[in-house]
Amino acid sequence: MRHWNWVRIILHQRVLIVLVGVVLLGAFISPEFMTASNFQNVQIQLATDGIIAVGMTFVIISGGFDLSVGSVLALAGLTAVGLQSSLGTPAGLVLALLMGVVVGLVNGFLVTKIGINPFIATLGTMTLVRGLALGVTDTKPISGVDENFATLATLPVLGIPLAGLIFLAVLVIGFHVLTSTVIGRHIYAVGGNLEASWLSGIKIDAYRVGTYVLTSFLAALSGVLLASRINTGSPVVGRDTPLTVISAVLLGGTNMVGGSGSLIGTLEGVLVLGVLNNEMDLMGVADYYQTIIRGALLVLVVLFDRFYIVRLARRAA
Amino acid sequence: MLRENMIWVALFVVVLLIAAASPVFLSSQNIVNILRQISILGVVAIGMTFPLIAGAFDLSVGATMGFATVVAIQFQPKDLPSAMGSLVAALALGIIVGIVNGWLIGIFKTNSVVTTIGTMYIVWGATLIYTQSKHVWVFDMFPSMEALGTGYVGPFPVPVLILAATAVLGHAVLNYTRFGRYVHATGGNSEAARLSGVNTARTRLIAFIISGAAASIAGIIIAARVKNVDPSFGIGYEFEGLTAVVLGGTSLLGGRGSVSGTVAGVLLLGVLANAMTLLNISFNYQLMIKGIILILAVAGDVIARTRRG
Repeated sequence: MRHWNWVRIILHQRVLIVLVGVVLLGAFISPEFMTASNFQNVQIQLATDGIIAVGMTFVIISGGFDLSVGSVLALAGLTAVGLQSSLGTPAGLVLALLMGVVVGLVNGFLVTKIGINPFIATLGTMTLVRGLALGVTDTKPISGVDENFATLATLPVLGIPLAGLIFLAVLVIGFHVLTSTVIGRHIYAVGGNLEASWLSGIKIDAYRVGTYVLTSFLAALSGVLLASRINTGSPVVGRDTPLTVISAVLLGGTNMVGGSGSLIGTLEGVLVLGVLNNEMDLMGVADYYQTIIRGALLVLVVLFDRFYIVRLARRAA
Repeated sequence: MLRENMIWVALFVVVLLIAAASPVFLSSQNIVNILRQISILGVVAIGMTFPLIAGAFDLSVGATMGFATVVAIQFQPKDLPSAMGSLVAALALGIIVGIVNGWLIGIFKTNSVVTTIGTMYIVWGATLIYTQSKHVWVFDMFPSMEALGTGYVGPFPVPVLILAATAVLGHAVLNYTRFGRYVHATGGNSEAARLSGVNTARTRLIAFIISGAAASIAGIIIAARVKNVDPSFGIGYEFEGLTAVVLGGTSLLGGRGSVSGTVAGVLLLGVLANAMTLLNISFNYQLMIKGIILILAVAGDVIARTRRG
């Protein structure tokens, strides 16, 4: 039985083990990997996807799905940068975040009140928002004109770049809400069994709309930070974002079906993907191998989970 | 009866409206033009219909189509043997991707969305490696192969005929064969289907092979038509295909759907794109309008169904 316990620990902590392996590999292979400047670099890169991944974890746990995050990220960056010269930077920021909330409300409305499959509803808003972003800019990027905005994402607070700090804050608050509050328990309940949750008096629609608004808001926040980092609003950024973020969340063990998952897992998923990318960049691995490795990792994880679940079920039977 | 043909009614109304607004719209040249433009999406979407009815998403079709296009061109089909090699390689590629998807999802029962996102990345990465991320082209393509993209039979462009053949074949397979019934049963209630003796794993496997092969055929048509292509071509096409299939009334939960509905969905998208071009709406705003149409169409369908039930 002792032997089995070890196997179980390894199975349970598989993503963490992969992460440790990936970090050790980086330390051995590349001298730049363990430097402070690279660490800061990774942190800012991770923050963009990580902030959205927190929201996506909420949506997926509650039984939903959100493909529109990449488009919202792009439009938010455009709004923040594009309005600098006319309305000023603060107004631009507020409107960018507000836009995120509105898209989240639309997503939530379509899924809960109309009853459209979340995959299709957010595919629709994804296309719509992307079209809007491309249309208003005529496919051209906009450069920022405010120096303060350009340094916002990298602004050191307590020695950490602001983007990284925001990611940490979002993560900690999200973790607290999911694990230690009634709201968190209700979100798990809604994703686990919608009908039963409704019968036990949980305001299911409020929770579902809430998760979409949260995710979309965080996508807008992330878009603003990204635009600040590159001091540019671009209508084409974020095409890959939904897939990367969803990969990270699922890699972290959150189940597509809803009702289970954790932000610790999501953090591990984000770290594995982010560190792996960074390492491959440092080692000069071409983009195309990175694409393949990302895909293979995803397939391996679903396959592994499948066998793991089957084995657990057999042992229980 | 009406609800099942709702998409055709919508198509008819849209055509009437556009014809009233633009006199060029119903000219035979413009109609042929629309049909040629939709032929590629049509073939892909018909393929995607099979796994979707069987209860599984195939999001790898865009990447597969792109890879098939690149392979068909990169084989430099200048004479008969190289053209045959090019066609066989491109087609084999789609079938292999289909087998891998079907094997993972059908046999090992992994989640289809995540799995096909994974294979999408793998296929895309393989395309980039194969081309070294560079544009590929072929001069002097073998004429018979070029005809697959640019030729005519009478007044009809060859791609349109390929679409028509795919549609007829797909419709027949789905409605008049035992496999077609298995596809519906697997998607409708997989457990019940399995208990009544349907090999659901094999059914899904074959459904994915069909969708992979269809993506390859679409890739071959494009290769023959444009003869040069960027290696990231095809990415995102799965969403276009999914939009068409869903507009055509195929249920995302599986078990319900038809090839004729998908064809109507593709026609509707093609007609709208054409009308927006005639009305000088930029491609970017067309994208936005497409999103709105998708939401409205699905919302309408959902509302109509809940009212009745």
